[in-house]
Amino acid sequence: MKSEYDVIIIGGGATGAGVARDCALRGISALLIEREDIATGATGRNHGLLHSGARYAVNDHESAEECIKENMILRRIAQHCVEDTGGIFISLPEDGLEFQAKFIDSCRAAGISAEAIDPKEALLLEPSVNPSLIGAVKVPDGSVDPFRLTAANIMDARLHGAKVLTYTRVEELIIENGRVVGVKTLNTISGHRDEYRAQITVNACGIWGRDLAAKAGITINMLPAKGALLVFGHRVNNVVINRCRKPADADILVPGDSITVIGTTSSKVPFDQCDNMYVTREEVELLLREGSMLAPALNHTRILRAYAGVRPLVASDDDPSGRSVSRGIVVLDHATRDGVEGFITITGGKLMTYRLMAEWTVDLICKKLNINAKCTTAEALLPGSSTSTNNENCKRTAVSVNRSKASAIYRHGTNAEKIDHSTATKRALVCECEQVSVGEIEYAVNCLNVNNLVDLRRRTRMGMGTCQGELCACRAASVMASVGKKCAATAKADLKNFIAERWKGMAPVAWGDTLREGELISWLYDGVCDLSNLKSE
Amino acid sequence: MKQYSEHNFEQCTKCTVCTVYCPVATVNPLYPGPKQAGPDGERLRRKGPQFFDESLNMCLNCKRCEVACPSDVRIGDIIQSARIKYSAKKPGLREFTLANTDLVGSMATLVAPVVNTTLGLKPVRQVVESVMNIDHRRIFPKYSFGTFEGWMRKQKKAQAQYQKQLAYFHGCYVNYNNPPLGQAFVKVANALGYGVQLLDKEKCCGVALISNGFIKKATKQAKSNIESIRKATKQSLKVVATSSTCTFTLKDEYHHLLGLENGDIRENIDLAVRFIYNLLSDGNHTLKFNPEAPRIRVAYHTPCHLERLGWSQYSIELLKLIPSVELIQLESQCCGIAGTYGFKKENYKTSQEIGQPLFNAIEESECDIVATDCETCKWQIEMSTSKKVLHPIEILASALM
Amino acid sequence: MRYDTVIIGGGLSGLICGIELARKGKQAAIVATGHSTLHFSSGSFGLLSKDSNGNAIDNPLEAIKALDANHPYSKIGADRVAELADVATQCLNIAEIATNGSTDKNHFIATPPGTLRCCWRSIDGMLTSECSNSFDFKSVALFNFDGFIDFYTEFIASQLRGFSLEVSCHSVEIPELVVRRDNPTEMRSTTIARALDKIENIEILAKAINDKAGEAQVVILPAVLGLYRKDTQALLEKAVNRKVLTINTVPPSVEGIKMERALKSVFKAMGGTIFTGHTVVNHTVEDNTITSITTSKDVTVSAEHFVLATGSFIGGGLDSTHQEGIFEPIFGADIEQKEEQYTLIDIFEAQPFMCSGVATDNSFKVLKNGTAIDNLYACGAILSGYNPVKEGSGAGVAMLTAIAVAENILNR
Repeated sequence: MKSEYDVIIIGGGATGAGVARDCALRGISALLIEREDIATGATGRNHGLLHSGARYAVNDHESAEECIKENMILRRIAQHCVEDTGGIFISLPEDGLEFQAKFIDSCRAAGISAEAIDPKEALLLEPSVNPSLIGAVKVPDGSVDPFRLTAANIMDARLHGAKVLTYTRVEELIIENGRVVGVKTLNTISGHRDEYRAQITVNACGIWGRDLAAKAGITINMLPAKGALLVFGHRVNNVVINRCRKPADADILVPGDSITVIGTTSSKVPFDQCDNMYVTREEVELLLREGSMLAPALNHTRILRAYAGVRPLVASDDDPSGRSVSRGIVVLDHATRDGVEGFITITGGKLMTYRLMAEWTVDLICKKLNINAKCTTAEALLPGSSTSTNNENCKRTAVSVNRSKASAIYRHGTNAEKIDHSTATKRALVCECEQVSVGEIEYAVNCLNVNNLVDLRRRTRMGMGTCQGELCACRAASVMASVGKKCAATAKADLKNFIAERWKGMAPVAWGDTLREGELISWLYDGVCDLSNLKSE
Repeated sequence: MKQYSEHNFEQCTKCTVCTVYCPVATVNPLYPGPKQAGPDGERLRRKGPQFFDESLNMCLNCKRCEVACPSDVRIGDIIQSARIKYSAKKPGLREFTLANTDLVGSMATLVAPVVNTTLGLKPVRQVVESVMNIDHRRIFPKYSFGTFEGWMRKQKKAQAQYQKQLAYFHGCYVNYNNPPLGQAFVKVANALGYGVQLLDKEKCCGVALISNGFIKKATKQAKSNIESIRKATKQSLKVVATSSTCTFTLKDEYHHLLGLENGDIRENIDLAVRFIYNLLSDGNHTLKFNPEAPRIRVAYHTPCHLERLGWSQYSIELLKLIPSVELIQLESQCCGIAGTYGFKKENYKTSQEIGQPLFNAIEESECDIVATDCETCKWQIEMSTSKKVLHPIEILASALM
Repeated sequence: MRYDTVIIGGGLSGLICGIELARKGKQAAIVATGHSTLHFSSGSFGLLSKDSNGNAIDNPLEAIKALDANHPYSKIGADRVAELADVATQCLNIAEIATNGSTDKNHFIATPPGTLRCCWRSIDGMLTSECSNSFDFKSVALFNFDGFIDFYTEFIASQLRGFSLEVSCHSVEIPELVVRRDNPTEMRSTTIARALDKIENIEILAKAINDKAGEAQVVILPAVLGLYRKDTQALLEKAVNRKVLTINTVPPSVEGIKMERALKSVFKAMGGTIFTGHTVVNHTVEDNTITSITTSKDVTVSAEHFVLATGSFIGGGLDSTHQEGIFEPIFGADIEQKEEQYTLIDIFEAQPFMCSGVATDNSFKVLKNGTAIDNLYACGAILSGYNPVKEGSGAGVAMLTAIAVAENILNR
């Protein structure tokens, strides 16, 4: 592998992946380095809401405009990652209707279609919505799968020549003559240390970007804001439900793939907790209480798990107190800001604007490198997204195909054609809840940078269904071992990690059926399979 | 308090127990099995109709998965509801003929000897197979010449003499094919001091309409039956049925599959064997048995819907009370017919393979007679074994003084 | 309907209790929601397999003496454990469930991923060893069925090689199963077991083994040898002229299903009645005595004595809600070890919920509001005071407490 690039991007979230793709499409040689797997940070820990921008319309016109533009772009370039569910903003009796008029005006001013509908019509549109609503506004919200979106960006970046290293930690920035010229890395799986050089290094590490910048002696004033969310066992709603009021905790309910997500809370956390987020009892209670205001059925719906992410809020440079934060996109050119050449930080923003963030960053890179290339990421389709109308196309073909294929098409779009379903064994379903076949696992392992079962889960939804790996984890581990990626001992250790990772999200919500499932998992993996006795290597 | 999910399917812990007890999956490699067709599939179908699979039509609705489930998941209901909601297969002439048991029955009973002879003829059965896709090996139940309702009209006066009264839901089979079972029930009820009357208006319970996709018509008939039963309930008349499937449909399927409200009358619907057993165990009722009755060895077969109702023990205990009966309890398993399912050509093989272990057990039991509460089980067993099948009530009636 | 004793729960504990009562001439009925957790059985029984550090216990009888007073074994009396363990073994024998093992010395059984796990008794014909790291043979041929994804050949092979065995891996194609694999999900352990109920498939398997196994001393197969047929393994061994042993698969567990069926059939043969598909939803009490229970199917059953053998959470014996925490849903019995925080974030730690369960007195009478209900006993996984997973004591507690409860009822 070569060690010289035009650009090194650190951070494999949506933003980093987007920057890598944008570079690659503009012919800039790029290396992306991620310390774990792609989409492990804030990217994979949000609602998966394809914002229409309506939520920001009243308070933040600029964000709202950005959102609706990117919303339309993603519908086009990432069809297989996006679902056009539509969204409604409901007013409950305690909210009143005053906010609604202002809300509709603000939406329209930002170019977001917003149509007030009768509460009865809202109930027909989304039967799970709180029947005591007094008003509703229809907006073009949708859902987006952040894992798929990031993976598709990575895939396209690689197709266009970018290199991607996961499980690689940047230990040091190489600084020569006041200029960042490269990085020293450690591969956390193999233990190999390497050096890579580039003219420009991009810090796309989200909240962890503060630490990276510090390696260059640069201070970025960041505030980690924790947001906790709950995953319900199935799709409770088919339309995104929001509260029509000033944005508050737990007021968005998003149907995503086979589940529904409620979120989020918002609380400041110390930096040392960013790597180990636990959802507290209080957060669970708040989410349930507020969530059931949107859809009362949530009170009686099985909660699969709880998770939390950290938003990278950046304090304005002119406010040393750190109180005034920007929720917008922040591109820091450290040459002008701090006198350190060759180093750019891209942060702030949101999943919805990852592409725009990447565009701005790569525009700056082009300027610095004197490259004259236009951004094409808003037009070029991501791999898997088909040129014909949209998802409907996949849906139609899926009717006639067997169970193994329907879900694969849903997840991988046109790339599902690359999955080998030629034999009965390849069609065999490993994960029965989410219908992940042996063939799909082989495809993921061979083509989608999968190193372990947790990575596999992010690419395929294996183990993300009702049983949280109870029935499929062992099968998947053994398929992974036989695809040849792993020796049996490592695969078993990986299995143990995977089971532990699943339970971590279940523990805060382990009551009722979730606790029953947890007990069954414990019996099977700690009892029958005796995994706790497996000495870690 | 235990909190049941509003979405019953998510009580499933993916434990796989149901997959072991599905009679269809046991013999038909193409059927997705109760776990995938039921709770797993239901979750995915909420994403979009492309996750519905026509192979769900292979489910014979025996509900043995529900009995097996340790988590109270109504797996069979989930599968049937999905068929109702998504299946693109439209019912045809065959389904119409099989499903409209009362319409076809009322015509056939008028000319029973002709129909019975004709349907018995091999060339006719071949024609039926080619036109209707009903398997030629299938033997049709014989139609009776004259209906049970007709017979009952003549009994009205005599039955009115009894101080205590009950309403009998006879079902299509007793009405058109087997009035003697209804007559046996009247005999037993009378012996216990009950006069028997019919509901104001009895329609076919609609189980065959539901399974053949005629949901509108089934709903219409169900509403009519619920009304009639409600009326009887208001008159404090217990509604009793001999057929386990009719009973199950009236009590459970109306609510679970057709979404009709029957909570107010549900408890007033009883199964004949249960009604009689409960009378006999209250200490105030006795039956006089004929000491001369010949001893018979009876093998009891539990119909699927009775297993689901949870009441097979009443049939068993009742048969045990008959002094002349030596009872053998067959292992509870599906006979394979499942109402009209086994009549369809494409299901014939599956149907017979499912029933084979039961047929073997029956032959090995060396019984004189097989007893069961379900008419379609009777057809299947009589067609597939050397034994004659009677309803426990018929056996009971014939053993009385 | 009326019986001498009604047992709520049809798992290992309920069935053993029923058999014990029925064979002493009592009219017993079992009421169960569905089929039992025997469907996840490992094919072995643990009396007490691990100490608090997770190390294998050599002599469970010795270790039981050191358990604290609230442990079900302590309630039975450590000195009586050996005797009741013998009765449990008798019950298995009566049901023709052939097992081996001895009560004063544990042995080891192979797990689905191929490691060795300590146990008290194991089903005959499964891969076991007297010690934790070696076998008394040198070479094995490991066979899986083409397309069966619940048997982890690679894991098992690597583990066995670690025990210095010579291992060869093979695959068998049985035409009937090739058709089965066309179904993306339903080629389960039981599907194969059904196929192996047929003599022609046993012959195909035997031929494949003879063709491929070479000089291997022992043949290892997934534990799928026949669901109804009892002589499959014997027929195979004869045909391949060497030892054939099995390793358990993930659910459904064929050995567990066979066990449940054998126990049920013995219970019925002794005159016992089983109501399957019935969840108890109501009960009546008079003078601190349960008089009857009513099920979800509107069946009311009365009895002299009632036994609560509904299992832990997965069996439905214990339940929990967000607001109330852990509770017992039928009688509202007292719960012991009901921690506010009953889960730990690391699944492989000893989870507090595993130890919670209903409170009983020393004769296993169920406590409600601190008072023992006079004719309601509890046995099996619903009991508090022990961690079946961490101790490896689930089956032992299930059977021994069931026998103790049956004795207590019979002695009244």
